[in-house]
Amino acid sequence: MLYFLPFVLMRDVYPFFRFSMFATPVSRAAYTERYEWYVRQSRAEKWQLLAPEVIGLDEALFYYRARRANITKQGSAFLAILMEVYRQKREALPAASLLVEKRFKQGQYLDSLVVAQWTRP
Amino acid sequence: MKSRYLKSTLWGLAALLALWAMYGWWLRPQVKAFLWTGEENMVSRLVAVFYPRFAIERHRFDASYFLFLADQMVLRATVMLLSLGAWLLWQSSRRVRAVAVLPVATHEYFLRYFALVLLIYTYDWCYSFYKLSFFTDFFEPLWLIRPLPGFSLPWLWTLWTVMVLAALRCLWLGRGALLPALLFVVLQAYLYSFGKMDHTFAPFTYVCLLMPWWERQGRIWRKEGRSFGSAEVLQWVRVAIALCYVQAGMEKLLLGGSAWWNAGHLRTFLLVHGQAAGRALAASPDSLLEAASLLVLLWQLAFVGILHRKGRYFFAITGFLFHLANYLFLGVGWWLHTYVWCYPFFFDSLSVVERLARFLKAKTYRQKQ
Repeated sequence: MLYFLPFVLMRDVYPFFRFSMFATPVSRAAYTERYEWYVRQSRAEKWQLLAPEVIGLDEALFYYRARRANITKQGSAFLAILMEVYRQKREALPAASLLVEKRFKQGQYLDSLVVAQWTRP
Repeated sequence: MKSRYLKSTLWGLAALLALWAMYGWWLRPQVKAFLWTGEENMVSRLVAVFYPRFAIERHRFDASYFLFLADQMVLRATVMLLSLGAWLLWQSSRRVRAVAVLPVATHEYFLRYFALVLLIYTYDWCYSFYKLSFFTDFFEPLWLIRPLPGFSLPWLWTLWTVMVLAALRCLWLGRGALLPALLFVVLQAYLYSFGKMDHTFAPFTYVCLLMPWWERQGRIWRKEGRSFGSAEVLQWVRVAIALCYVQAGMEKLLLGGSAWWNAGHLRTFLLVHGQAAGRALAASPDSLLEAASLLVLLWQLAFVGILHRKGRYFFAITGFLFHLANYLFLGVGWWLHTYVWCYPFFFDSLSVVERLARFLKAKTYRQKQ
């Protein structure tokens, strides 16, 4: 019965799992989003997309934390943590950084929103 | 006997009716009040404890969707109770319980294979812990590890070393899988205490959870000097792995229904995951995307067929292809997915592992000579 507990309660109860990957139809959601992280070495340069793996953060974990930070209005604090780890792992800090949310609806790109921004102190 | 069945069935149906009545008249109005008016009641307190993610999800879905989820919980509890009742009735009607018997040596080879897979899965976990040590701000321990020390590299590296050594011992001896299995579950809990829980090792975790029974059986057989033993626990392992897929199919069917195989659904996920092959597939006609989605749903629901001798090869091969497609189009997992590593548990003979173990033993013997 414990094995089926996550299925009935519709959430993971570690070490028992719920297998709901992609189960909720996107038509029920207002939108489906993707988060991207950009940095710029100087004002003159273009924004560059940065993979979170660069600082050792798994992409799925990055996406989950970014989404959570965005909804709870903690985007700036989240970006500050990323930049602190970036400083520890890489030699030079970039001039600025952006956390961007890209929204999709029913397979169509909707828009992009800047969730948080950071500039080198 | 017949009257006993009738009595049990009537009791079961009465319990279900009571469950539905309690939900419909007492709990469902409270769910509605909480969702539409934000009323503080028992439901709001339960949600705060058991579904903290609601604070995030409420921004993406309207209130009617969460009422649908509440109804689903009662429906699912009903399905599970009915299934359990049917299974108990079926078990009690069987005069002879037919369980396969395997040589104890084969059981030992399965345990060796278990240790091998554990080592393959976890060889880089010490590095994963190192990477996560930079993000301790995100650490939120799962209930299982709350009584244990917090996230610290010396502690986790020690546990990891003990697990690897115990797994190597199991690989050599063909027994002693309990300790590495327990440590695997504990260490995995540390990995998933950063907010996001992955299903990468889910079927293997169920194998770990059944390991105490498997170990106990082995100990009894060795004590009694038996050369053959029941494959009952192995059968449970197989059922658990197969049901991971069936549950994934059931979720899609229950949550999405026909909306799940709508072309827009798959197209959205293909675009969101951003893989080159996925974007190309997203441009395909609706009919192709709908057929692909429907095929995946049917395949997952039918995956229990791997338990049948004749269906093993079909589901193992298509399972490999399914995960390969997920990797190519959605970027999920790896080309040789972690779930695929669990498929050999469905085959009675692990001849490759057996041969490898024999070769290693023969080599050691020759060196001693």
